[in-house]
This record gives sequence, structure tokens and C-alpha cells, in this order.
Amino acid sequence: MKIIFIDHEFHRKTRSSAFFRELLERFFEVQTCYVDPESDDAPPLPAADPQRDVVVIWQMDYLAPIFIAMGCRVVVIPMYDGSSTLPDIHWLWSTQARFVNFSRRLHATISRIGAESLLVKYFIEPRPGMAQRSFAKLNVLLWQRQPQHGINLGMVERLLGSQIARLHVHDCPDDRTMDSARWLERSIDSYQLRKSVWFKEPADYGALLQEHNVYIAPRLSEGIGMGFIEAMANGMLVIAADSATHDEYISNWVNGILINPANVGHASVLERAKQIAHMGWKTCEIGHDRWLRSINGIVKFIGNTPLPTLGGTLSRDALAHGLVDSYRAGIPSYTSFLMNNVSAMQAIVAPSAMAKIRILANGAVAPKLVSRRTDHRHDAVSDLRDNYPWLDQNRYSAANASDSRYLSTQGVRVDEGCAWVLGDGVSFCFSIDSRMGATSSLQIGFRSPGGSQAVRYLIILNGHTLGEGELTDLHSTTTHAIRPGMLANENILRIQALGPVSRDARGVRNAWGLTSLEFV
Amino acid sequence: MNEPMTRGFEEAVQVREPPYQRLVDAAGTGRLFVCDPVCVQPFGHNVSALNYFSTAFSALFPRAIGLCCTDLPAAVSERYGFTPFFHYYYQDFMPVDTGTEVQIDSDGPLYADRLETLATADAQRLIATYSINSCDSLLFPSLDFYGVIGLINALRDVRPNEAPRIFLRFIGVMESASHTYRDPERELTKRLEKALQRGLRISISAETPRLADRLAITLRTPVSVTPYPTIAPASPVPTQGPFVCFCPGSARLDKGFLLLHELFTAVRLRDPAIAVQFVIQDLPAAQSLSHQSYISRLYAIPGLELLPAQIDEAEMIQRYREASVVLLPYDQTIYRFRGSAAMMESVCFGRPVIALEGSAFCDQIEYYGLGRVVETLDAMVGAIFEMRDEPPGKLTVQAMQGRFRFTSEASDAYTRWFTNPI
Repeated sequence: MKIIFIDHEFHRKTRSSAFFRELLERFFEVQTCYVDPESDDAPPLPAADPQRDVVVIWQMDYLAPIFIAMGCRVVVIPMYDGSSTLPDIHWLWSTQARFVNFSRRLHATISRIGAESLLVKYFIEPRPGMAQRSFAKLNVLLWQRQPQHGINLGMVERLLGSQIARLHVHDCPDDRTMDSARWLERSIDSYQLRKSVWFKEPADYGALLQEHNVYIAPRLSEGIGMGFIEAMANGMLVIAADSATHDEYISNWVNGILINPANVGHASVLERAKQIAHMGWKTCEIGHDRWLRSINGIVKFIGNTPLPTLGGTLSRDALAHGLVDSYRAGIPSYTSFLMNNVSAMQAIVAPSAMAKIRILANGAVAPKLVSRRTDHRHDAVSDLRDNYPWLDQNRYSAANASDSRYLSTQGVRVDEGCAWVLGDGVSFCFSIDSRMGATSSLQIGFRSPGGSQAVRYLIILNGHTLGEGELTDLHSTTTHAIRPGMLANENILRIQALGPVSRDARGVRNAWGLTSLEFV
Repeated sequence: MNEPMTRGFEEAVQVREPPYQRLVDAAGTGRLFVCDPVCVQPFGHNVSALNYFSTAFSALFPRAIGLCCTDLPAAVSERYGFTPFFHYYYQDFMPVDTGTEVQIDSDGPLYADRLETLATADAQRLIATYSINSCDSLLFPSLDFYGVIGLINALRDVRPNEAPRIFLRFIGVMESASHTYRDPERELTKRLEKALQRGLRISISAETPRLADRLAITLRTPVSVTPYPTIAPASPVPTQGPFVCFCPGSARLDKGFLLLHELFTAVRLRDPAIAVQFVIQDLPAAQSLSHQSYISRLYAIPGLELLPAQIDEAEMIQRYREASVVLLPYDQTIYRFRGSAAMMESVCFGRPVIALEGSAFCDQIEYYGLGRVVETLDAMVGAIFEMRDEPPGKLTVQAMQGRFRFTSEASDAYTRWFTNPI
């Protein structure tokens, strides 16, 4: 079996994929092909023998459908930082590929769409003798790769302040045309500042890791995060942005520290730095052992990749040009390409996968609705949507603008942290896992117009009456018991006003409102 | 000098398995139909339970037939020899991609609930297809609302002395699975009361003592306690390597999934050597959507291994063998009357458990000495370290003693239940 390993041209220099390619070379014959997605020409893609070869695509997931259309077995290794914002339909087109995921979040997304995904966690071997670094002083290493995103010298000063004894800024932005001078101005004089630019020898960077004991992860998110993993393996205290993949390796204040670079305040870390850094090193020790034990599973997973089943013939060249051109033009055009070429999609997406899902207007994929309400034929509610969004954290807050997606009623105005009900009531549609039966009550926060006439209301969940009451106070919270079986997978919650409702001097009905709902 | 704590262990693992052979004399002469309309998904409790109950008592009857839902994948029903029979009634509770829309005969008998019509038709078809008579027995090992309601409806016009014996085992899960009635469980027990008064031979048991006692008061009839008698090969608790805390089974919020981060972080901070490690299973993909940040936080805890929501049987067995203790921080409201399949599996694999107090199975943990019951997460952290610090082998001996008592009494309970029909 031969592996055709397709990699980003950039990695020829950074070698960040080398560990995986070298792993494959231990088990397979490997032919590497580098692709520059920024090139104006369509990438020269290698020929592959569908019966003999497995195409392994590192990072550039959008190329997978081209090889699937050729009838090749395809394995994709996507990176969170490059692909996390792509719509579900991007993954749907590649459901006949297998995925090896270094990010748990991507793994969850891709599994939900219906593709086979193997979740793995990479660690390098911890550096001997670095398990217990000295933390009498903080010597900080900052590689300014994306200072424009807030991870820069100023942020480090705000975060660590006078605790810093020495700060080394390795000033090598990912965008080499960037003038980074504005991010190199210090505002505290109490520490020693050093700077460097590109090194001639990799060992020079290795020396920096040993000279410093605090590592500032340089980007908001990572594909794997080789830099911070290497720092952990060197016994350094790692401080990183609170997003993937950092938050999949770092347990906050346990084996590293997670921050929000956009809103950093001072943190006293000196006292606990040694303990946290040691835990980071131990994490590498256990993690590296598990990584080695997972290799056989990875090799089997790749080697057993099945041949795709194609529903028709496609022009590989046309598909390649269409995919590459639209991808290069940006996510909106790429999404349009994927949404609009239905016959091509049907040719390469397994019918069994298509049968289970619905594609929504924004490229999201949802499970196909099953006919559930066999006994609710005469549902009188007419303004219900057909896709019920998952109720995040089991709660709705009117203060959160995105929560309006749960509202399914026209006559509601959301303002000042309140969903004001202008008509007779308000309906919420949401999905929740009804098997997770820990929910035993519903808390509702109300706002009332006040005045002499109280608003009377009735609360109905999926046809069950939860309760009724009167709103007399300006602000009130009510709690209603949820009995087993009341919640379904997809739910309709109706809060209905019981007339008469007070009106103002002009006869206009006074609005009343909801500030929050929470299933607890 | 201390003697090795595992001395005698080899004999202990040879403890007699439930002697169902004893039931041969007592059992009926007809066939046994083991019915589970909720056996629809290839993973989870129902397939293994239906397999167990349709084979464990096969020696007692000329023929034992496991009847599952028609939507259980054919490969699974064929592997276990189940007969696909029942429609699926619970799309509102556990959505399953059945691929077909259920057609319900609107000209049939009138019921308040169309699903009841469907379930009644299924039960009538069952009786007719197999010519079920008074020699036969029907067992619902994990009973569900519509399955039982439908059966009682179908037997309405059958004389009690011509009706089959019915064994109903409550487990506190699907008894309330109906949107039609204000209190579905009460509706079910009222109909059972009437059926009992009419003279139908119905024997009732429950998975936990607490549930049995509650039902006995409601139904005014004795209710047996029949734990799920998993038969699994016991093995010694590992004495080498890390102390592994295992949370088996697809993760669910009512099984304390949202408590695990606090619990594990507290352990981790007390254990910088990472000598205590954790193995947990993920939430199912669709259900994990709302909890992505939380799951990442869990996944990041040093020494934690996150398994997929579904793992195969071989891996489950391997994970039990590698575990030192099983953690059950279950919700005390949801599990107030329910048993725990994970607890019963742990017992049979010879693993001690630590549970949060309040659930019905805590009574069994304390009575049989199956592990610890604690009041708070802090206390659970303490119990983990106390167990880790026990002399090597002591946990094994304690677990084997608990296993011996639990499985022996479970087998006796089934004997009583089958041989003493009300």
C-alpha cells in the first residue's frame, strides 16, 4: 500500500507535519506532494491508483472531494485553526473520507456530520531533567507571531507586570510584511527585555526554551500546537488563549493557564508557577506514552480506509478548479459552491449519509426530522420553524442577542435584556436531550409593566400545562416542576397571556416580557 | 507479617453463578416470550438485557423467544437471535432514525392515544401470531409504558385462566414515557391494579428495593426485587500502575457528567504525580453540541482518557479490567428509584464503586458492601484517595465478597419471582 501524502507548501519549511509523515513512513511507502493553496494556478495534484493508494491530506481538507471523485481512499487530517469556521456542508462533501483529528472539537463536529473520525492527542517526549524548573523569577518567552490579535508585549506586561524578571520577544510575525514596531514598545521598565528575529539554526530556538520558564502561546488557536506542547515538555509554564487546541491540552491553573487576550488583567502566578509547570511536564510524560500506544490504531485506521461509493461520474478537473477557485475566493463563495452543486455532491456523498440529514440555508447540517408527533395531527401553532436549535447550557437569556434564535413568535421585541411580548404570548422552539433527565424544573424571569392590572399567564410545554400565575411585581422569577416525560427532543414552550391585559391611555396594550428561561 | 490479601481469591472468583437450573422444576411448561419494544438501538442497555433474559432462562422453557423492536438493525437482531416484532413508540423520548413513518389504523378501537392503538395492535398480533395461551409466559425485563398498556388492552377479552403468565420488571426508566396522561406511571399502575383484580396472573418485580417498596404500596401487592444479574468474569483489582477511576457508559447529564470536571480537578490538584487517572466516555455526538467548551475542559485534565460515546463489548470488558474503582455521581432525583446498570456490571466484574448518596442503588451498595456512598463531591475525592491507599488486594477481596452476596441473592430473587406467581 502506498500513501500519497498531500501537504501544504509552507510545511516544507516549518516541518510541523514532519512527525506524522515520518510515522507513516515507518509503516507505508510514502510519496509526498506539496501544494500551495495561494498559487494562482490550480494545484498540480498527483495521480493515484484507487486500488492501491491511500491519499492522506494534511490540513487542506477542501481537496478531499477531488480524490473521492477519483474513487480514491482518502484520509483527511484537518486543523482546527484553519477549518473550525467552515460550514457543516464542507465536511458533508467529504463524509466518504476518514478523518484523523488532533482537535476534539473538530472531531465532534465531523462525527456529528456522519464521517468516521479518530481522535488522537499528540505529545512529544518530555525533556529529561526539566521536570522541576526553577521559578524564583519569571523569565518569559513571547514569540510574537500574531501581535495584531492581542498576544503581544503589552498583553504580557498587563498579565504578569512586576513578576517579570526577563522577557524575550522573538519578533517573527506570521505575516512577514507586517511592521511589528508598534507592538514592541514597553511600558514597564523593571524587567530586562531582549529581542530576536528569525534564527539561522533551530537549536537557537531550543536554547531559548531552556533559558526561559514561561511560554506565551503565540496564537489565538492552533491546529495541534507544537509550540506550546514543546514548551510543556521543557517544563515551562504555558500561558495560552482560551480556545482550541489550547483548551484541549491545558486545564486552567492545573497544567497551564488560559487567558482571554482581549481582556487580560493582572494574574499572580509566581507562587503556583512551579507546581503548574511540573504538572505540564507530567502531562507530557503520560500523554507521550499514550500517543505511542495509539500509533497502531492510527495506522490501522488509515490502512483500512474503505473505497468510496460514487453515485455518478464527475470531471475531476472541473471539480478541482471549482473547489480550489471558490475556496481561494473566501468562505462565502466556497459555501455557495458546495451548496449549489447538488448533483456533484450527490455523486460523492454516500446516500446513507444524505438520507439522514437536512442541509439548512447557511450550510449547516441537521438531522433529518423524524415524524414524531403521530398523535398531534392538528397542531394549531402556525409559526413554528422546522429546525429547533439546541438550547445552549439549557437556558435562554434575552440579554444575549443570539438567543433570539429560540423565539418563534412574530410579536416580540427584544430590548434592554427583555423579550417584550406585544401579542397574546410567546413561543420558544428548542432542542434538548430529553434522555438527560437531570432537568427537574423550569425557572422563568419575567418583567411586568406594573400598574394596577396584573398580567395573568399560562405556561405550556409540549402540551403539558406547567402552571399559571399573575405578574404583579416589575421583576419576578417563577419556578415550575418538570416531570419526567414532559421534555422531548424537540420542544415547544408557549407562554400565553390570559386576558384582559392592561392598556395605556391610548388603548395600546401594555407589553410584558421575559428576561430568561432556564431548565435546571 | 501480613498475609497476601488476595489469598483465596482464586476460589472467590469461582463463586457459583446464579443457579437457575433450580428453576427447572418450578417453571411453566409453555414458551417464554421476552419482550422489549424499546430494544431499538444497537448500543446501550436494552440489547444486552434482552439477550441476557432470553438466554438465562432458556433451560426452563421448551422455547424462549426474544422479541425486539422492528427498527433494531437487522445485523444486531440476527446476531442475538431476536425476532423483530414491535413498532417503535418512543420517538418523542428517544428519537431513532427508523426510515419509515408509522401508519396507524384510524378505524380500529378508540383510545385516547394513537400510540396506545398501535401498541395494542402489536400485542394482539403477538397473541395471534404465536397462538399464546395459558401455558406461555410473557416477560418484560425492562418494561415500558406502551408495551404493557397494549398487552393489557389486548387481553381485555381473554379469560384470566386462558391468559398467559405475565412477568413485569420495573426499572424506573420508560414507565412514564407517554405525553398523553398527566401522570403516566400512575395510569400504568392503575391499569395493572385493574388487571390484577380481574384475575390476570401478573407477577411484578423491580430493579431496586426502593422502587419495589413504592410499587407495592401503589399496587397493594408484594413486589419482588430483581437486580440486573449481569454475569461477567471477575478479575482482581490491579495493584500495579495508576489507580484508574472509570465512569462507564455513554455519558449523560443525569449520570453526573457535569460534575466530573470539578471532581477530577480536585483529585488532580491533590495528586501532582498523576497516580490517579480517569477514563470516561463522551456524550453522544448530537447531545454534545451544547457542551463543547465543557467537554474540552474535561478532555484537558491531565491523566484523563476520553473514550467515544459508544465502545464495543470487548473494549468495555477491557476497561473494566483496567479500572480500580467505578464512579457513579448520579443525579439523586432522577435515580431516586432507579438502579444502575453500571453499578451491577461493576459488581460482576469485581470492581468497587463510589456513588453520591440519594439514588436507589445506594441502598444496595451499602447493604451488600459494594463500595462507598458519599454525601458530596469533596467526600468522593476523599474516598478515591482512601481506596487508593488501601493495602494491595484488599479492594479485590471486598469486591468479591460484595459480588458473592449480590449475585447469590439476585439468583434467589429470580427463583422466588418465577416460582411464586401472585
